Amino acid sequence: MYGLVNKAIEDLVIENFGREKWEAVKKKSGVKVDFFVSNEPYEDNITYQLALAVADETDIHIDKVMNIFGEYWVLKTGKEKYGGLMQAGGNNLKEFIINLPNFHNRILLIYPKLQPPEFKVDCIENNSLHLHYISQREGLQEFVRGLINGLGKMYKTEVTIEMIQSRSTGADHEIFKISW
Amino acid sequence: MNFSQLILSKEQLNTLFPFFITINKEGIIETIGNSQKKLFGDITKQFFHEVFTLVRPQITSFDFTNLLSCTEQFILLESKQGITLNGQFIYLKTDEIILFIGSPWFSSIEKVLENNLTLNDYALHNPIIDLLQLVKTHEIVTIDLKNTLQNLQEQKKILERLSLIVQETNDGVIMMNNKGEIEWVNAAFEKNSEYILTEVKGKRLDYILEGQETDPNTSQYLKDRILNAEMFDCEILNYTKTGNKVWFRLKGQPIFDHEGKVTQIFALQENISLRKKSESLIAKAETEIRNNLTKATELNVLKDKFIRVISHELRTPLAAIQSSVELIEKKLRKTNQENYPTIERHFTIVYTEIERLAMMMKNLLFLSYEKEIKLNIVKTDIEKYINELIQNSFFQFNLTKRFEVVSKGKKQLVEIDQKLFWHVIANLLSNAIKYSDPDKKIIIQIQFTNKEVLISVKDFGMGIPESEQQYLFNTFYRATNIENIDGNGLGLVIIKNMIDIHNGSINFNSRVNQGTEFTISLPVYYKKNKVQKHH
Repeated sequence: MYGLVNKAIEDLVIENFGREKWEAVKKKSGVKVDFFVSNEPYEDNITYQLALAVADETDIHIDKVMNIFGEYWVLKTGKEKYGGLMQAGGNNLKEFIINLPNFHNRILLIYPKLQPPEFKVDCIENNSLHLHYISQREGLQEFVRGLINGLGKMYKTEVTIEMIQSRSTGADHEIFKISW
Repeated sequence: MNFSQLILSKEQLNTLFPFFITINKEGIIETIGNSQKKLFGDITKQFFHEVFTLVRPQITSFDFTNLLSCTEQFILLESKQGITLNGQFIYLKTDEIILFIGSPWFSSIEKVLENNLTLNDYALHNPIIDLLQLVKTHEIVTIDLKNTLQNLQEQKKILERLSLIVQETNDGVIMMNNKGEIEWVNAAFEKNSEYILTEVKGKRLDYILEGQETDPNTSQYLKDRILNAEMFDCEILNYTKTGNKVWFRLKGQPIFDHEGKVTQIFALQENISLRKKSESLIAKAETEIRNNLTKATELNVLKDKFIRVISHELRTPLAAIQSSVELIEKKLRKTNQENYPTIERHFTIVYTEIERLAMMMKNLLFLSYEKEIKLNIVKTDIEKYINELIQNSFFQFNLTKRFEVVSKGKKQLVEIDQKLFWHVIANLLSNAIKYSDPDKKIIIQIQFTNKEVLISVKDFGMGIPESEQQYLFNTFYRATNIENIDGNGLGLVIIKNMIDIHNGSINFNSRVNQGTEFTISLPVYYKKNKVQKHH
């Protein structure tokens, strides 16, 4: 993954638990990188090790850590660093999620070494839609759930997220039913 | 494919080029794309040159023919609102119109938002959005790099400071590899050991610094700790390059990498030769003091024994002298009544001196037995006790009238040995009488506080010279202004010792020719353990 993901984990830990905790997380994860550069690709393992170490150090379940991280990504990293781009993504939650597949596919132009997941949207209704999440990576479903929660908060819209299909039950990708 | 058949509907054109503009032969805008309309409002039916300025290429007059000449060039337009558009013109011969295909140019995504546009207003193929995202990413990377640079600069400063400390400290600093071989030493180590870095690099500490008198146990301890990568802290006798002995305190610890492997061993070398020298001197002095103390204690025991023997031996002849003198006096009074008055004075002197000698022996005996005293502690009404003492011991010559006893505070029973304390109070009252005029009062004040009682005896007599007050409780000391008054310099010493036995204290205030006030402070409850410690 690109450094911006690891950097966001670093910012999240420092902001909530202080720099000492971050140093402890880094030590526990065994990650030897001193500074993450946003547009540098890093091994996926680094991100997983960091997330697991955060869970261990803060005594929070890994799923919850990923969920918090997803929210943080939208509300802090996204808003502070990619503020304009996030706003340009749509005027409301529905518009943003509908644009998400295109928006995400374009990222390949900026980060050619990135293996971004693919999103697809269907079953669009007035108050709900289905978001398909297709990824080679395992274990990031809760991160996606956190991202959607974060978007709901960004657009001040109450959302409910239901995973109606998952790889863990034999499907080839996840489908989230998002209602607002 | 036959391109003459490629005809786009207005809707398709709008999807592919939402910022398109068509200009007719009169130079009037005929139609515009949806996003263009969102950006500028409805600008159809207006002259193109009234809405836009052709920045590049520049043309002399804004007519259709001139516009046609630009169809193979990059077009840069500027709206009256100052918005730049880039794109190109195409002449559509069938409809006799010029088609502008392009989009507004913004230097940041924020400008897009400021102009009320979103990503949906751009055609999906339009690379401007990607370009803006790329710009944004570069901005973020620049911020990242700035932060990283700032972090590095701060770390550099810390490193510089640390490096300065390591170089300039008086303690030697040694960096060894995991085999205990020296990799680096600082200037202080070079000064302490007289070796320079190149001479010690790759060698072990014991190999270069240890010598004949180095304690083999310490040497082994150090080797084991270093090789087992454990912390160490020891004091060791080393030798400099020129063979001088020097004591070091060596403190060290291993440095681990992320995987927990020892990469280096770090040690601090403190020169403790001076301290070691002082310690040896102090130890020598302590032994000397201890020996002297033993001797002094032995002498003291001998002295006490001697005093007891002498006092006992003197008591019998003194008693015999006294009874014989009394007999002589009786006889003389009877047989020589005429001359008796002339010699009576001498008898008085003899009696006084006998009494003084007896008192002195009594005091000396007390001092010699002091350490063996067994106390008989009794709860005592101090005021009553003092009044009885006055009545019993000072009834002669109307002396009782000179004393005034005052009591303050909530009365409490005080735990004392009544026999011993009798001496204390009697001695203080007797001194007050001795050293003040017969017409002056002596005030005894008893003041109770929460856990103690203060007993003060105040006279208005001759006082004690300031320069001599510090010697008052010394054995046999007598002030210079009372040389003509009876006394042996033991009374106050005994008083102080007795008060000490009761865990109390005694102080005084005195001014020459104004008087003296002694104050005893005594705990209400006697604590035995304190006395045991005292003894």
